[in-house]
Amino acid sequence: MQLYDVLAVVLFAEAGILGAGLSLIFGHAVFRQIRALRLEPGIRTSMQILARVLSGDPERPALPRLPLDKVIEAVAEATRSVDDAGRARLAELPAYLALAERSARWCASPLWPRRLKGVRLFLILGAGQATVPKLLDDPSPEVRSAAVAWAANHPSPQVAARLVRMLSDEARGCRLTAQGALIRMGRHAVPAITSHLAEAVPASLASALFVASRVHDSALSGPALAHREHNDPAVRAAVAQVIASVGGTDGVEWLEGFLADPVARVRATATAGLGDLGYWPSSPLLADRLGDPAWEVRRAAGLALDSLSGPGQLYLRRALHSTDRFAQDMARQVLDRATPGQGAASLVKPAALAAYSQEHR
Amino acid sequence: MIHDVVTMLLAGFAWAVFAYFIVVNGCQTALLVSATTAMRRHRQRVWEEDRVGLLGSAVTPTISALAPAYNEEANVAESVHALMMLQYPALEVVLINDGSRDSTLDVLIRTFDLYPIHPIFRNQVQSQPVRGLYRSKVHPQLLVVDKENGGKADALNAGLNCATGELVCAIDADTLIEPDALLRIVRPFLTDEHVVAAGGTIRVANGSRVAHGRVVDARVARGLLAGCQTVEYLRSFLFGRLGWNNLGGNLIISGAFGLFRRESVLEVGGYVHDTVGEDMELIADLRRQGHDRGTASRVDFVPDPVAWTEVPESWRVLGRQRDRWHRGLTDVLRRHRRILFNPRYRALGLVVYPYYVVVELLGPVVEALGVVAVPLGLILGAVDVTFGLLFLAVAYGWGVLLNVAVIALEELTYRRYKRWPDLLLLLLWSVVEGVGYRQLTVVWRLLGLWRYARGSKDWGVMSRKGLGTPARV
Repeated sequence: MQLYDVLAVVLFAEAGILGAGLSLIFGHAVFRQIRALRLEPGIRTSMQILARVLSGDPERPALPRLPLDKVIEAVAEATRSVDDAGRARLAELPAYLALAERSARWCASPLWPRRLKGVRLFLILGAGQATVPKLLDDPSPEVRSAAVAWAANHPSPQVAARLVRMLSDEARGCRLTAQGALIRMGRHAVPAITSHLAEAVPASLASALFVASRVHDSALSGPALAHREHNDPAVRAAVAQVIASVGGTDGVEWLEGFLADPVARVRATATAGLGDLGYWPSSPLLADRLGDPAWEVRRAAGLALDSLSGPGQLYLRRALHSTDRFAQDMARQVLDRATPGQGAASLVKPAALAAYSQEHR
Repeated sequence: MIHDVVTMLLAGFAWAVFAYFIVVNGCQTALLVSATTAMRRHRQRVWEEDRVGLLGSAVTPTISALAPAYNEEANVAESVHALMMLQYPALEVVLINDGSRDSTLDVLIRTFDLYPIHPIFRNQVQSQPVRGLYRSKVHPQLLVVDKENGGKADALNAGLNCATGELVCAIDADTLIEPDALLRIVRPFLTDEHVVAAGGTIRVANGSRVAHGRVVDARVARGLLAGCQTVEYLRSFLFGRLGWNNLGGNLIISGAFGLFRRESVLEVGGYVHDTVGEDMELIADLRRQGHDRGTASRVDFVPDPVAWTEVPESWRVLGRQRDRWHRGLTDVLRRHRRILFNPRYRALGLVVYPYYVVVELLGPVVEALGVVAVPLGLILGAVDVTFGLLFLAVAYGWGVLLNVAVIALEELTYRRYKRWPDLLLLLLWSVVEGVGYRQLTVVWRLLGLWRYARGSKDWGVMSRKGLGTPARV
């Protein structure tokens, strides 16, 4: 075979593939259009039935025959912002039951994309209590993560305990989703977090403390304080964060103690925490931190003093005459505004600054 | 004798062009296959994903959207309004007024009720002096940085210094971002700690209906230049960038819309000032330094977050843009030349970087030489006429085939252009693009190489018509 022949064959092949490609494009476009036209009345009727059921209609009629993806779309749309009572009414529909069965079958599939679909469908339906918790141990991180998202809406002591263990999961997605789910569970997660803090699993201690700081439950300050002298500064900073989130006179004392920590991150977290608590008697200690060797601590001290209003402002003005150039400079930066008293922290708490202080606490 | 030598050289060159054609198209076909599998996997992962749940999550990383503005008094308010309408739970919008000589800052102060705040930030990367920081009373998530003029890279560096987000999103002032784009583009950062940057799809907004800073009706551009660019952007993003996710990672994230881990960007020193390819330079730096430190730095492309941009509709402006892009590419590849074929950098050194050198950088040179040598060879009888014509037909057909494959991928997945006329127009541009337009881009890229060799680092004037109606909150 000569090169001409090769080129000619390639050219014919190109023409054939091109024809197939165009047929695919046009065929698909036509199929979609015809399908949309054909299914439109059925989808409309389904939405009307679902709306009627949600509004309390005692009838439970069957939905029109629709392809699976369209039924899922309709149910997903209907359950987007529905309460438990509405969901219970929907659960009486035959189509809903059929979808739940389908989800259970998908969850048992050996293929992870199927299992993922199963969990996501259960998430839409708000069902799956017997199936999804098992998938918290699925080998696929995608499936585990989806199961965690489901678990956030179905709190139980067993699920909370599993989620806390998942804080040291090898997949970042699972760790983050577990953190989010535990925070969302709130007080339901407190016993599991408490026992996890007692176990002191090194890989997830800081994450567990971070979650504890977001749950804002005073029952967590004791277990958190048990780690106040931990070797890892991230853990100590997280302890300070928990204390700052709970508050109280004892908490202030502990936070003041953290101001002498050798690691800047811990000092900065404690400083920001004292500012957030608005405890003005700490002003002299915060003023001392204006001369801290670490920039982030000086910044946190400046903002904390500014948030303490009168006493804080007084210390900031005094710092303008300090012999310490760092303290002087930070105080000047905090006070150096066109309209004194309208500090970012005192008037409006900007989202970004709030995020910053959370991040560095 | 001379005739024989020339004929032999031309014949040899024709064979070299033929081999080059096979390598380039082989690479692009591999990218297409890789993109198709990556797309399938991505769509499986995001099926019925609860993105709204992210909005209520306490653990989503904070994002600072960095938008540099220079003499934008006419559009700055609508751009900021559009940015603040983006769906994301922890979003900070950082508008950097890059020493505008018009009333950009006054417009911002008036529109958003700005007040000066503590100018406390750490100067971690080099930028021109910051004159002041302002926060909005009505939108506390808006931060305005007023600084001395220093160019786009400098403005982004100032934004990096003042931003407080864990992630930063670099956005061009003329880019329209879809409301849920941030919720989608953040995905790689939530699933992989090694991801340092992620890019989304840029689509051509020319011809589409735009209202309140959003594309409300996507249409394919009617004009030849914008139409050809529509196909080009689809090809470049839907399979060019996506395909690299499986083949060693991306080396380019569009400067118009990209998300970066702020700490990683600060570690590499932020944006480089003395290049016209600052966005590619940043990615190359992030990846190279990641390897040097022994930590894998992934750069992912996510196909579903979409930003719309207005592309040039004048030959002159388009020429300037392509010239600048090629100078940027050349500069970045020269700066990081030690990556080439260096096994230490694994896929980056052995696959990605060589591809960019052979296909993207040298492509126009080989194509131009081919355009000269093949006809010459035909005249001198060194290349057979039938062979030459067959080769041209195969080369052109392959290009059309790749375009049609991308349109098929678009039709089977996102289907942004819903009308029949748009689909037909898209197919028309995919056929027309290979005749004339592509050859012109070769000329502009060659010009870029020539100007780079002469040390040119100017951006050129980029005039645009403007898109749609102003945004309102």
